[in-house]
Amino acid sequence: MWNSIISTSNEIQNKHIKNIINGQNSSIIIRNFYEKEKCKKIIKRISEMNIENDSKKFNHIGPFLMNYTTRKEEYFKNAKKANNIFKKTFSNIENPVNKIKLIISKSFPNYKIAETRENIQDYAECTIRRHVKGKSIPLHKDNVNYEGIEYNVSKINNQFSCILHLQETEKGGNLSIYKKQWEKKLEKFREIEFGYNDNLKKNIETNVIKSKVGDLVIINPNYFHEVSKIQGNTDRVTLGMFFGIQNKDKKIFSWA
Amino acid sequence: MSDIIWGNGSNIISKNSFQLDVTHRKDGNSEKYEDKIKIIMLEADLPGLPDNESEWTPENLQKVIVNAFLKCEINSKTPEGDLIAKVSHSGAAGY
Repeated sequence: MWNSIISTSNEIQNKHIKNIINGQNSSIIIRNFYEKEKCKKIIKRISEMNIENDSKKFNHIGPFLMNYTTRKEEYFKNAKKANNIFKKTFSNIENPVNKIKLIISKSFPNYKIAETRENIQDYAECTIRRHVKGKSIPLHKDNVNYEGIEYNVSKINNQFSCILHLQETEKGGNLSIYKKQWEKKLEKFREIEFGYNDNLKKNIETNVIKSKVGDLVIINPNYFHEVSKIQGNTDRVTLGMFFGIQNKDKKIFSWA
Repeated sequence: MSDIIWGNGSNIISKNSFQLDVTHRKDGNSEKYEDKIKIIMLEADLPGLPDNESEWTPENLQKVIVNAFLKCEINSKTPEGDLIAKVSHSGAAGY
């Protein structure tokens, strides 16, 4: 059965992460991970700050590495800018990025969360994405081993993705995860601008996640996933970050 | 605006050429392109491939081209019908 592991105790176990890495479960959902009031505060702040989006194409605060696969210098320049914005956004509120890092580090007691830097430059701490009515996120995967090969974070054994839901939409905006892993041979199903052809998901088992504000969802992003069209008037807003596990040095990296 | 085709790299032919299995063609291209076509790389913007052409080898092309989804902006055509093109990755496949 391809389903989620649900946690209501604000903690996860190492075996749960292993289950999503090896595909026994689709995801981990930690209910009420981050207080709703704090989510509201963050939304209010980013709405008032008049922040420039990272690119014209995406309604994001902060760069995401996959959009800069061969533009490292630009990525780190924009990451620096974004990290300053996040610092202001999270000032005097419990920092959600640190809270996510803490729960991950607790589930890997023998590993150390390492500072994620490259040539004295910091990776982006997270990306905040706003999806408006009518927007969907097509079928895709995230795999830094493949597309992020020019970055040091690509030298990891496993990757997982954490998505904190800061604001939900009234209808739509559900995350579907398919029980099918990306392999290089599936690049023949690529679409020009973004993601993969829907034929890939035909007859594939799926788990649909309707997240609530404050929930943290953890997935192995090498499994194909998508977000259905936002149909409500309220935007869907999420904070996303990746973690990479390096077994040799027992280190964990994070980036966006 | 130059013609653009997209597809997956297959056989590496030399240190700067390969066969492309064409999957997409830009609307408004000046001609219809075959499903399999030889591409001679004029320049490249591909993760893992050095910018400097003198560092390209069939081995590193093998790693970054074969099966990869590629965008080819066509510059010209040789008398044999091969395409001389700027080759790059095509947008983001992930978030």
